[in-house]
Amino acid sequence: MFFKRNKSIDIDHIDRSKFVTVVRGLWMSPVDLAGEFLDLSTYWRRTRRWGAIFAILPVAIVAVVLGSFVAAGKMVTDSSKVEWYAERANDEIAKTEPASTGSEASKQPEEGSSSKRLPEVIDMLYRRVLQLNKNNKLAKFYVANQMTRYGSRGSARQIMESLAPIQTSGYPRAHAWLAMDLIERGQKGESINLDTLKYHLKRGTSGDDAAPSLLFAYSQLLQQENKPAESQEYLKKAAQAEPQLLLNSINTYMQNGLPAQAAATADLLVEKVKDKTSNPEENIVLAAQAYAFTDRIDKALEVLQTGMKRFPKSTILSRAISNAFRQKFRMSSTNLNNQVQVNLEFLNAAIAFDPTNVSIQDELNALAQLGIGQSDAAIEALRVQIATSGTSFAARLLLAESSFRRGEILSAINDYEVILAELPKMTLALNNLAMLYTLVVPPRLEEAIQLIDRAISIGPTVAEFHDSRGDILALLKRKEEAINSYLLSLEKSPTRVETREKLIGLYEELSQPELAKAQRDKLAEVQQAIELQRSKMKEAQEQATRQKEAATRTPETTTPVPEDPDKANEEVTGPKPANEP
Amino acid sequence: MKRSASEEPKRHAKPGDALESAALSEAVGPSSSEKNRLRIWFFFGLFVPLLGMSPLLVLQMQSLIVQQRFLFFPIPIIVGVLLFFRTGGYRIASGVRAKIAVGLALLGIGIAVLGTFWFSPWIVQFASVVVIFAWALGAFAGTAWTRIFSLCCLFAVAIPPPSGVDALINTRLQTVAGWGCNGFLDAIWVPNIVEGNVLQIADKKVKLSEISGGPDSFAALLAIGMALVVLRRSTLLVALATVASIPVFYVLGSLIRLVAIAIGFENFEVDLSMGTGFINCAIMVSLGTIAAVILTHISIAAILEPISTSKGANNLTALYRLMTSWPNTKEWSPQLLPESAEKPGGAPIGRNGIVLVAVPSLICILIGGAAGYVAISSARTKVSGVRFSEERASILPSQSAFPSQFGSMRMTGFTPTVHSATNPLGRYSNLWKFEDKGSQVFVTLDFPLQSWRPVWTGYQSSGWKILGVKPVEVPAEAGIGNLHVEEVAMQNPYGLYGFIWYAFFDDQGVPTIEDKELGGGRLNIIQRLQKNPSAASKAYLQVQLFLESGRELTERETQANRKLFFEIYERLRQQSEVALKQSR
Repeated sequence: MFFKRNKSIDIDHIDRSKFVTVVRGLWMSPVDLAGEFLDLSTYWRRTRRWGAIFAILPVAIVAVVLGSFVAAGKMVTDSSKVEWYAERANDEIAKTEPASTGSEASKQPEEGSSSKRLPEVIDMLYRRVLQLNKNNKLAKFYVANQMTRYGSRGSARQIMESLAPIQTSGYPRAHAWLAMDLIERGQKGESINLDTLKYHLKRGTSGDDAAPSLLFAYSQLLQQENKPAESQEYLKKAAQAEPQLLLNSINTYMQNGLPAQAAATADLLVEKVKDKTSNPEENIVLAAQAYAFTDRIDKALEVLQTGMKRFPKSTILSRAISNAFRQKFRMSSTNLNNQVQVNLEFLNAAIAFDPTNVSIQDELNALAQLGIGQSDAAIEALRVQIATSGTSFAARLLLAESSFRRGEILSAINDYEVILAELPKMTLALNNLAMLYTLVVPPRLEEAIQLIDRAISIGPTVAEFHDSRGDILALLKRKEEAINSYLLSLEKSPTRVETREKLIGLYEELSQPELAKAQRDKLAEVQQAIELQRSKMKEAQEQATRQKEAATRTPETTTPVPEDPDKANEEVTGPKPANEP
Repeated sequence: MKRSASEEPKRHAKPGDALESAALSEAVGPSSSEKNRLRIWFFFGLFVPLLGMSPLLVLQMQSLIVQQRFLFFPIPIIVGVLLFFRTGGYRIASGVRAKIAVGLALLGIGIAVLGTFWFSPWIVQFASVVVIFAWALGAFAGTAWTRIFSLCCLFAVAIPPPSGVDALINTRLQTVAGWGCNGFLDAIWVPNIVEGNVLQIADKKVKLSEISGGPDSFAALLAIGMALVVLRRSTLLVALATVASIPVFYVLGSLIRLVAIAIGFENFEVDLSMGTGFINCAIMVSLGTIAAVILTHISIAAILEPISTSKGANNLTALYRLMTSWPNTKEWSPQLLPESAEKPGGAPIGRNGIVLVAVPSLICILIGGAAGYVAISSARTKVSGVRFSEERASILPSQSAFPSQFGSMRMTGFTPTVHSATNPLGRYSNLWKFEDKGSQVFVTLDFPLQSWRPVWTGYQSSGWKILGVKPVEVPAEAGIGNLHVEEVAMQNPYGLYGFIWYAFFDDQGVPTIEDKELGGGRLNIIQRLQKNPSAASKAYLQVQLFLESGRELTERETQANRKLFFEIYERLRQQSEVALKQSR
């Protein structure tokens, strides 16, 4: 015993009844209590089974190790974590865009690519940044942008608006995102506020990392606002990253009667793409386009044909050659004594190089408008040409068009069948022949559907083919399928008024008034947008005229003339003898 | 300092030493009249009440067995029963103990009768434990009441805590594990994020509840700890310390699994959150956790072992010993053993006591019979879950319930889902996904539900913060009549707002007026007998509208969305009513 006790206790005989006595016995001086405590600790130590006590050791080691890691992690400051996560996110972004400098707004993962999981990782990294620092604008921007991937574009927009409020200098990337969003909505036919767009474009392009597409859009807007110098400046900035945007610059120079500047820009573009190793076929086409835009069509053809030798199976090049020949065909037209003469050989070459080129219909329509191939003499001349010079696709097509216009359906069918025997992949002929089959008595609808399916398999993106398929299916009373075809057609080209009208008709026939109403509303929206665009075009053309007059006085000032929106529609409207003579 | 022989600590007593006491009492053995009393006490004090409770007990077992966290429940019960068989001292109690036994038996049977009357299997399960304790107290006079109590605790472990407290504790502990994992991964710079109950590593999302459930779930671990404590006849302090260590090991186990999944996924491209890897990892961690609990228990028992000194100890040591040996004080005082054998004092449980217990026991069996009738004749009972056949579910509103363009919303998808039998969302969920001005809108029809549930809890576990919940008045022009609709506003950590409107209707298509009305199918046994038993357990269908927004809604937008919800609710309710009528 360390200390002398007042009274010793037989602890083996303590039971609950003596508990009070024991507790009372603790009422002693602190020194005695300390002594008793020391005694207790001695007893305790001597009576322990240390082996059993140390059984907890492995468990304790594991717990301490884990606890230490957790504590270490929690002790890292939030700012260090934010920095690390942001850095890591940048690394991941760099993996998704090895050579591009565009903004995140346009980045989407490629299906099946090795970087498929990267967007989720980047999203997670930025969400963590935001978790650690709610005011991190980049993280907020990225998280909002990611929402669009999950279909929450509206919510993303609202968050972007909080990052980049109107009339305030907000986060540039958010301004850029909102500008692109407005442009996309405008393209879909929604009415947008141009002032808002302009504001966001201005703010969004203020940074060094502005996306070329955004710079291009702003340059277009400036051009519309009659600020060509500023427009060119932004265009050139955009072209630094994407040389093909220089084509627009060339086009503008040409439209404003400045061929020398256009040629110089074209040469610059050719120079820029010449040494590029990526996408060689596209670069060849770009160079050819630069020459073609500056009326150096032979040079363009030379470049393309040289490229074709390198890439004999290239569909891009064959389409480009076909288009070059189309241009050459147009340029070949001469007007002698009020008689237009064209060289059909060029059109023939355009068809031969790419039978799937539906734009050939434009040339046929243009010829029809000029009256070429309509008179008996002209038809006879075409027949003679076919008889003397053998296969002439252009002549055959003109004959077929002429027969159709004169109501000689069987003759037109015959011409198209002859063409298809020679060129089975000529989608234009497939489409036109399919529609002609619907006009004969009795209609050859099953054959028609086979032909149009062939056309769609070759050119699945052509809205006109889906529209034709819808027409044939409607005649076959397969209305649900017809609706689907019309919807596909509208998906490819939302501004097709006739297709939408036919769709509304089918919905009404199938007693689906709600869907019909929705389409009718959409149609009204589209028509309104087209009307608005037309009025703007008219205004712009008037302005351009005034500007040209002014330019005669001050040659430095040029006014760009925007492209005719109807012309853009022509490409998707395509050929259809049945509906669009 | 030299210690005298008398002061030398004695060899510690083994827990098994106490059996000597039991053997001693068994050696005496009950007389034939006492045997008869024991039989009668067993019959009226245990057998009859348990028989009366059996219908609802069976229902309760059915509901427990399908809940993953209570899968373990047969284990502590079996262990408890086996230990009862091994317990000595089987002789009728007398004196105060007899009176307490009879009193507790009356209390237990009374609770059982009330529980059966209210058709509450939970109350009946609780009553069964009280009845077992009372019977054992009366029938094992040679065994300390504390021992009997600890054995009964094993049965009590299988009782699910009320108001989902266990689920709440589970969630809280999982949150702690997630928090720990977050810190661990931050320490080794593995990018991760924990949002609510979800951990994400790279593009891998792991639900903490899925990782921390199963055989090493908290309740299972607690049962193992309790069984250990009872088997080793631990003292109160050791028992408390062992039980207190269980949450720590549960969190550690979950943390190890989460860290293993994260490191495996990030560094070795091995996914341990599913398949064989998941099972192997779960088994290893479970075994490790159980081993840790056992080792800790052994260590705690050794640390808190009473001091076995002979005479001459001081007051403090005496107090320490008393504290650390309770309730096994006698086992640590061999000299007291002959005295500890309970002396027959006062009258044993006699005719009066047995009659007192027999009467309510018979009432219990009568009411239990009625409950059995209701349970058997009801095709769908409240406890076993409201059932909808797949065929019946398939005729309820599906994709065609809405046109592809519904008002300003465009339908972008429809997903029917079949959940697990115990999912709080019900067995089936039909989800319509819409797009409205670039925002996503979700409409869901969840069924069948047996009781009202706060719909936002699921969102909370995904990291949403609830900003407000309020009931919405349904205007007369909505044409619905009385309906209880709730509106919930939430916000996620990234500033996105979420808004929910939800309401219920029953399987007759009748809108529910109050939230308490649901699952308030709390019909008593008489009401159940009066009504068609199957009608006593109604099924409910829940309509939910969820929309997200980058900002708070304006009053005008809120009003418009409420109107939209009423329209959707009425549309789905009417279609469901027609479909359900056809199915009947």
